[in-house]
Amino acid sequence: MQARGAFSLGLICLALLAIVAGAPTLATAQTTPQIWGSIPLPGGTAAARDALDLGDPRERLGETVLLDFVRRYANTDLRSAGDRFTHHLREVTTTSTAPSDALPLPLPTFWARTYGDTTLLLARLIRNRGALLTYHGLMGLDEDTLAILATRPALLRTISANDTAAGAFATFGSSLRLGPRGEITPGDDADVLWRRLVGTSPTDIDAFTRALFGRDEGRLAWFYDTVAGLPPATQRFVLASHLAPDARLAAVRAIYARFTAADPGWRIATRPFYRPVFDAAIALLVLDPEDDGTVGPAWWPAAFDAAAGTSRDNTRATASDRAADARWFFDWVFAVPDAAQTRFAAIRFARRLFADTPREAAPHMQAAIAGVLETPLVMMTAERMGVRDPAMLGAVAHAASAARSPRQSPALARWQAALGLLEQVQRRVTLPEARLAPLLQTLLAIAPGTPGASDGSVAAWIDDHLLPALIPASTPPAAIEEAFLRAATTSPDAPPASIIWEGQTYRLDTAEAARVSATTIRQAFAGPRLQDLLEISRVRRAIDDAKAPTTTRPLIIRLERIAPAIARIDHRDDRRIRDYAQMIRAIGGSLGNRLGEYLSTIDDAVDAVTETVTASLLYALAASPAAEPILYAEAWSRHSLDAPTGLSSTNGRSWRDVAWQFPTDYGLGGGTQLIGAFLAVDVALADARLIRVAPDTPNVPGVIDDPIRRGLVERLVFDTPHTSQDDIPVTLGEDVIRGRAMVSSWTTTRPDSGDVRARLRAAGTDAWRANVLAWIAGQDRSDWIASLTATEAAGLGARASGREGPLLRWSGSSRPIDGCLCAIDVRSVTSEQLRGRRRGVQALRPHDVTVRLVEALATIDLDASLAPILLPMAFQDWLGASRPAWPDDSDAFVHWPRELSIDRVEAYLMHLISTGVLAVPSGEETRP
Amino acid sequence: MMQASAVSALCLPLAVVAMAGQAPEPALVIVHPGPDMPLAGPARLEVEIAPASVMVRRVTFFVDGQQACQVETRPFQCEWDAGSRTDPRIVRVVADLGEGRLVATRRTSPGGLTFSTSTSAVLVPVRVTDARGAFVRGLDATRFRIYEDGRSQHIASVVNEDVPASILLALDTSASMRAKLPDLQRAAALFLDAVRDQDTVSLAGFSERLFTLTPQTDDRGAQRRALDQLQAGGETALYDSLIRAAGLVRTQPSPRAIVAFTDGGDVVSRAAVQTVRSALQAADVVLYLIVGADAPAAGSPLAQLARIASETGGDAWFAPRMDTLGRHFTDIARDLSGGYLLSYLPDRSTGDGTWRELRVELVDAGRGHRVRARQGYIATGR
Repeated sequence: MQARGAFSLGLICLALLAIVAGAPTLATAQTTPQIWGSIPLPGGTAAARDALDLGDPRERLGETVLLDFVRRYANTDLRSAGDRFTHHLREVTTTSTAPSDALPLPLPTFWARTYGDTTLLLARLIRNRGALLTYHGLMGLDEDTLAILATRPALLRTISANDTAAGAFATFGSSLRLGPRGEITPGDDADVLWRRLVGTSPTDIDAFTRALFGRDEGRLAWFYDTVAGLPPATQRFVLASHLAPDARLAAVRAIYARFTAADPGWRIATRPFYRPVFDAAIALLVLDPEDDGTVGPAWWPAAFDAAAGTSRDNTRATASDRAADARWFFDWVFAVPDAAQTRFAAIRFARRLFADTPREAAPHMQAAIAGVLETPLVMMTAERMGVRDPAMLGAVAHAASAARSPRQSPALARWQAALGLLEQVQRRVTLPEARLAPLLQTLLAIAPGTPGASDGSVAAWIDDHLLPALIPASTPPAAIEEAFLRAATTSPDAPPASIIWEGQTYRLDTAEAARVSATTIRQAFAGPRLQDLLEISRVRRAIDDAKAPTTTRPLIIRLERIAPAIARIDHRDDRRIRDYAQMIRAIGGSLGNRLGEYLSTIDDAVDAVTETVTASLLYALAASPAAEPILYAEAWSRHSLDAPTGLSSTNGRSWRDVAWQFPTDYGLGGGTQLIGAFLAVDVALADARLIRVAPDTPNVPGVIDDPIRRGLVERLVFDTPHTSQDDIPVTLGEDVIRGRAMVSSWTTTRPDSGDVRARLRAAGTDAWRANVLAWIAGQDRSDWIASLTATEAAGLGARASGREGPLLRWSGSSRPIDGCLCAIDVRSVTSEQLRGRRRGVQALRPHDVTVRLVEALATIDLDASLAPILLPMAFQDWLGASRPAWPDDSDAFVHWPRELSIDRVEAYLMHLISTGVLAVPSGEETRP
Repeated sequence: MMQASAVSALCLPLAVVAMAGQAPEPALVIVHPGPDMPLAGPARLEVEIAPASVMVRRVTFFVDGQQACQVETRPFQCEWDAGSRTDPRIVRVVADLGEGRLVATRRTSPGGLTFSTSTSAVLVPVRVTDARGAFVRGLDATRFRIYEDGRSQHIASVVNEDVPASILLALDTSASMRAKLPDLQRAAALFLDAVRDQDTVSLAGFSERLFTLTPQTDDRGAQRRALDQLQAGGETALYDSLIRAAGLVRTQPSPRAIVAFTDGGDVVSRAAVQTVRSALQAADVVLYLIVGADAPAAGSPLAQLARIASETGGDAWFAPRMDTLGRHFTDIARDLSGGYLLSYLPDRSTGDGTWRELRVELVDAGRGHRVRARQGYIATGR
């Protein structure tokens, strides 16, 4: 070891020199500037990945190892990582017999002239932060830009010598587009705008580029890069194209100020791949403005200002109209930095639900927007339930606001659970708004804090409104719960579908799976049933109507009969249950004239049964279909909307705030414990959807951190048999197969690397990856083809047939970005735009799984619409197999979908058969 | 109706198998069960693949989505126990030809006869020990009384000692077990040494989730090898894992037992401890629990779990010293080998899903004799 330790850098360099002595790509570097060359990596890429913790080399492209090195360590300690890299090179140079691998190197002449000898480059590069960041930036550029930069080594040296400029260039450099006449700026007719903003003309490439990457802590480059990555309508919106030049400049300067003000602690020099949790860039990436450069009509700004004010009852939202343009958007959203994300959620909510609302309905919209700002989850729940009437949305907001008054925690829990129960019913059976509206109106009328609220009103609502809307009045009392679960899981408008697989017709009945699961959960629950709730509620109401002991005696008998069911509420030491048992002992055999003394005891019992039955039914529906339903039998009893004492993350917040937040698992060493609203419980329990098809395989503890995993998994509950199939283009499977065939033909037609790059970029592949794949293709190799994802193949196939690329609306959950209980639609966002954002992984990667499933299904002649039903099994496999090596290591999620086999997809189908979801209907025998 | 190509079972092979020349195209035909046959009891699954010259790597039979058997040589047939169900089954057969495959599917007919009854025999594992804790052997039916909900029942049979037990050995492999795992592996190996040859054991580990390392088998060598593979990691979901274990073992022949070790309380389970009771009752399974910690406070979840173990006819031990584990494991193995299996036909229907309390008494019990049996069952009519 001592001898090895004494090895000098010079010896390494000599060794490297010997290894690459015959490298043809460098032979002409001294005479003609080249765009692409190569750099040798002694010991090979796999050994480097292992030594530097850069992920499993079997699952990744070797040629991205230097890029990944920068991405992994540039935000933390690139110097120490460089030392490790140097040590590794020393080791492999002296001990390893593994051959070198070549890595892509843009502008080899620049590197050779700057560092003296390209063969020494790697050893120097890994110890030079500015050079590494510059390398990363150059790897994201197109060939025209690289060609121009090849003639400007001084500019590149300036960038690499400055950590701020190098950091900005590494992250945002890919939006640099140089042409013969200078910088090609993003946006229509925006040269003047950019000249004023950057302070120099885009035609002066050196000055413009230096300013772009060197000014304002990299924020100018961030803004420029953000705009460059936006679709045309959003570019026009953010660049205020509808304004006169002077007004336009002022507007854009004001918008840019939101970028410079973002997260003052973010230093691009030390953390180039960091991004704030929520910022103007992410807002723009997911915003969908109108073509006229606005996000809504001119009366919106006044309505939003009023909604954000203290007066909820201001219904005259017509003060002074102002265009709802980008400047207003940014002014309003970022006026209160801590509330920016909620305000953005309000804009997005309005865009989805009020885009066509007439001005006359402004008071309703104003109330609904105030509701989003105050209790966003309840408004998102109403949206998810299909409520579209502005008046109803306003009423929901009013009810939620009324229920926020103090000392209403138990009543709120009962009311919320009833609303949550309706949400769970609605997401499965999709009642039309005409049937939903009366149910919701009557429930809103009894919200705690409203005049209609009283003891037992939730139980009465279930009896008087919910059940009559779902089950026949003739249902025998003993079968009420069974009938309710059937009605709550079976949509009459979505009968079981049929598929033909291997010549056999199957009925696809997901509703039955949900019904069986929900029923199993309730059977494992020992407490009272829905019919018990109705009975005690009816007795309590009958007592009020009773006039004499002769009429109360039958009621006492009914109270006695129901006592055993109430006594089974044993999940907590509940005084109300003990009091009821004492009451039964006291009044047993009496004539009934003492019943009036026990009204509060009976009221308490009605409340206790209501809490127990509604919450348990809510959980049964929210968790179903679950792979192991019995696990959820009692989980509801550990759900609370009270802020726990001693919990640091909720310290200082009252239960009123916690009670309306998304339910979150606080476990705390006592098993699962959800704290927060009884709304969106299925989203919180989304991991119940995961199905392990081979349960006997060893359980490898997950390495995906919990927020990311939850974001990925909750995507599953946004698919329903009724909504998702419309989202899946029937041509997608064909696109993937066409794309694969086209790429396979390249092994013989050998398109040049520039052509490969252009096609990949057009198909949606990010700039860095496209450059690496094109570089490999340029080495006369075809092994890169196997690394293409199904989504990339679909993109290539779609482009070849003149269609748009694959729909990315199958991507992750939108909830962490704008609160919507839906899948995010990120058709226009690429992974490079989300680099540095941990939620970028959850936003963009799920579609790889779905598209690959569609491809596999197409291979065995099955329709793409089956894909969502297979996702719970595929996601379980995917999450278990994906092992990111650093926080935004999105490539770690790509390997498993690429390797998903037909056999595995068939195993998923067989699992559906084993559980009865796929069944052969009677009379549908195998064809001869 | 979803869009899907209507490829027939015989057309599919044409699409996936490319055969050279004019040789007859390969075909796969399901011989058993025939088109009009029900599938029940011990059943033969058989296919023919023609022509005989076709090279076949393996034929896999699936019934209702589960792999039933796999055959690599002609004749392509196997025996499979279809149980007492006579409702239609989906039989799917996949023949792997190396460069393609043949697939056929058949839905069996419902049975013409159904052998159903609303009263099923109830099996009750019983253990009798004397004052020194030794098993009392050689007892016959006349020495037992059994009561269901307080009503005396007629005992149909008593079998002892030779009845093989189905055991699921579930070992805590959470991160807190890292230093203790070698001791646990040694103790579990002693357990495998001590169980009878006829007992089948499935070895499982659990942390956040239970996973089986061996199927239910009497292959002790495979179990010992699997034991050596255990690694510690993750958090403890004891209740969830016990529920999953009950679900796995409930399909095995009675008497059934779960032998579980954990070094502490539950941390991350979704299920509550009461749900474990429901799952064990539904599976008719005896729980033996060893906890590598001091005895918990009364009323704590672990104390409740110990009580549940006792209700099932099993027991619980709290053993803070890992070097004493071996003794507890061998005691359990001894307990499992020294039992009786009583059966009786209840005098009421058993299909109503109600909980029936059981009490087993010994006639002319010797001094200090103790009878242990589960304290009830759910009348599911199984």
